[in-house]
Amino acid sequence: MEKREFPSWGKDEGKEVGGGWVPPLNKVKEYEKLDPIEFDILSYRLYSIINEGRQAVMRVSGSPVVAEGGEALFAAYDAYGATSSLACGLLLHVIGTEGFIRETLELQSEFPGIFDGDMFMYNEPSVGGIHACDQWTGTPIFHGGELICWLGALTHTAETGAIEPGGMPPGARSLLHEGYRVQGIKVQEKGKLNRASLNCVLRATRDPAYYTLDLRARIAGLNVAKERIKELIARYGVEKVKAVIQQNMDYSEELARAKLRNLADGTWRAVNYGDWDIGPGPKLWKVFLTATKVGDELTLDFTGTSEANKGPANCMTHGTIGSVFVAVASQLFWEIPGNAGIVRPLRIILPEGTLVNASFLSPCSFCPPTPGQQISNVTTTIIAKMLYTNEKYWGDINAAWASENWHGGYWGGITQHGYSSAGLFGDVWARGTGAGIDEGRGDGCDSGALQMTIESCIADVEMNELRYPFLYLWRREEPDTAAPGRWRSGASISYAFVPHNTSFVTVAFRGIGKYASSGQSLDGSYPPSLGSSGPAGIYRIKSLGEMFKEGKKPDNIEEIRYYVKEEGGKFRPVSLCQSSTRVTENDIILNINGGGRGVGDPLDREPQRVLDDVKTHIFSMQSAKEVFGVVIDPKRWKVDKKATKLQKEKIIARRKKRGKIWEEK
Amino acid sequence: MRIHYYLVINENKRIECRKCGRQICDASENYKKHIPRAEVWPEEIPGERPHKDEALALYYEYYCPGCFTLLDVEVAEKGSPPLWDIQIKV
Repeated sequence: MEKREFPSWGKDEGKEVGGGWVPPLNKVKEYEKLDPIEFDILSYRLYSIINEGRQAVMRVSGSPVVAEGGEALFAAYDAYGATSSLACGLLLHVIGTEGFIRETLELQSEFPGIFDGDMFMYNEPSVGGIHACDQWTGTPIFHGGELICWLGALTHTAETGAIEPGGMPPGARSLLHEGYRVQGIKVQEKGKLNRASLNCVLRATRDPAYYTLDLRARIAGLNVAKERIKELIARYGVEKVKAVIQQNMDYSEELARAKLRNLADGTWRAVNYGDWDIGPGPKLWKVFLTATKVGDELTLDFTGTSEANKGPANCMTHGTIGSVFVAVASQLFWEIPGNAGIVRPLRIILPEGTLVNASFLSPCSFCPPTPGQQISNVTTTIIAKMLYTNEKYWGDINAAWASENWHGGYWGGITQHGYSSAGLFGDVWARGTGAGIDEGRGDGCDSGALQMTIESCIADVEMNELRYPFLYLWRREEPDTAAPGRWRSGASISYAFVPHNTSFVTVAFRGIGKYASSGQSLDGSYPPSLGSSGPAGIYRIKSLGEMFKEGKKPDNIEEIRYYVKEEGGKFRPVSLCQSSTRVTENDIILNINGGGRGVGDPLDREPQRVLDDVKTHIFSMQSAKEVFGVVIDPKRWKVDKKATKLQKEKIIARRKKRGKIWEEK
Repeated sequence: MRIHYYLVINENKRIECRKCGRQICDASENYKKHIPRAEVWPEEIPGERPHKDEALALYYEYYCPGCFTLLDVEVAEKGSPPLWDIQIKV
């Protein structure tokens, strides 16, 4: 597909687009610099407007992914689609939606034209966004016969009419399998809803209700923000509004370059793995990143990354760039307003045909978690290492967050209320964050967030049970999902549920980590394990329904295994790209989220902290002894100091015995 | 200059352990080629981890040659050379 930086006409000449004039790019970028106070006021006002738009989207949409998960973005762009101000829970889209505006300018400016009150919709991953679930609606703002800016709203809409329910079909082997893809149709024309356009999607999804809610939420948010922008223009004048849109980006670029200059020049490398494609057996693939920082520029080169997968675990360029910016925006430039300005010092090299730059029509619906999290992880790891080189930033050092996935996030079928629906369990967001170091946060945050959607909350179990045809057996933090280190990562959750009061329901898993740990921790910490309740998958107990009637409820993996053995049943493992599986009320679906990454040698962790971790079920007694070298007296719940000293000496002796200098063969 | 939780580049442009002061190599070299490394199968570490008979990657542990602090745990394919993860321009 053609990669479009600007519409074919924008660089040298302006254009009449129907509702007004778009000046040439150099004129759009020209502005009279606002004084610092005026800039602060207008910049913050613009952000408040964008944030109000996002809040409106989240309040109107009833979708759990948007309302609780926060997977909604709202942005103000300049006339050519450069992102100026951003309110986002979903960091993936820091700049990932700009392509939609550029293509709209290219394809629609002459016919049918771009007018005040038009709203355009896209969910095409080769143009912008990440995958078909990411659905964007944008509207131009004209003033005095000139297109002065755009507003855009994006939501993760959980059903796309793909070959399987839930929007991210594991069985997809082509982008054509991943559901409807809208290419800039006007869902609203000159202020009026175009019902014929809406039906293109409404009649192509299993869940028109949530689709309608999300679309109307985006329209509502755009209407709210548009009114506020008009108020802003009325109060301060259009030239100052145009100025703040450009100055925002220049200001962020200036701060980003200054921060890069404060770090040492050098090259850093990191790798992260996946262990499954489409089967039937495991397959190792990797995301490899070489980052080179010179002066105030940073080059991120993904050469060495594996070729594209055959299943949906791929990213197109926008997905990869979005995943890079998950790390850049949250770790390197976290204190800098997120907009196109922070992109300018970066050069990103994405070899064609690899899983970070999959070709057009490659399936890519898994992009955000896989390989998106691998991409974010290698970038986060490298940023952490760069930050060591200036004491000023030690408090910002943060190991990579979770990247293993071992769970069944997707479902589709008939709800207990009798209608067709599909979606994903927001429980997937409850993951451990990466650890910091002494001068920073230290331990990671338990069930903190998914790095890509940093503001996410998970719905109460009762809310999920109200909306979805499932009952939970448990949701709790899972022992040994934290990465053991001097500073441990946050722990993640396991959750188990059973279909309930439904005539038909399927679940689909995404899972990596069984055959290879996804990626490393930092500076001597081990990668996290996949907990102690595994393996994840589907456990069938023949008489589960009868057991519930008798008041019996398995509450942990040992009890599940006991009942499978005693009552009859079996375990069905589910792999990454395996198609959706029908489940019944006799099936327990067990899911485990992977944890974040730690920092430093576990032997350096204070024994009291390890004891506390064991008491709170973050680590097992076995981990305490074998990894941390801390022996706990289980009767008195105290550290056995003498035994601990001996155990640590034993671990050091083993290191001395096993460690050999590497020799090239 | 600090470059790692446990490592610094000292005034002689050599990589040095912050805990024990052991000098490892010149700052222009891959420090992992100058320190002991051990091949560790993931299942040796507690928790649900890839089993040796089906694991596609393992852990390479790297230790400070002075105090045997664990400096890095690489996830890597068996036989991989040490990844040059930190290459500061000095």
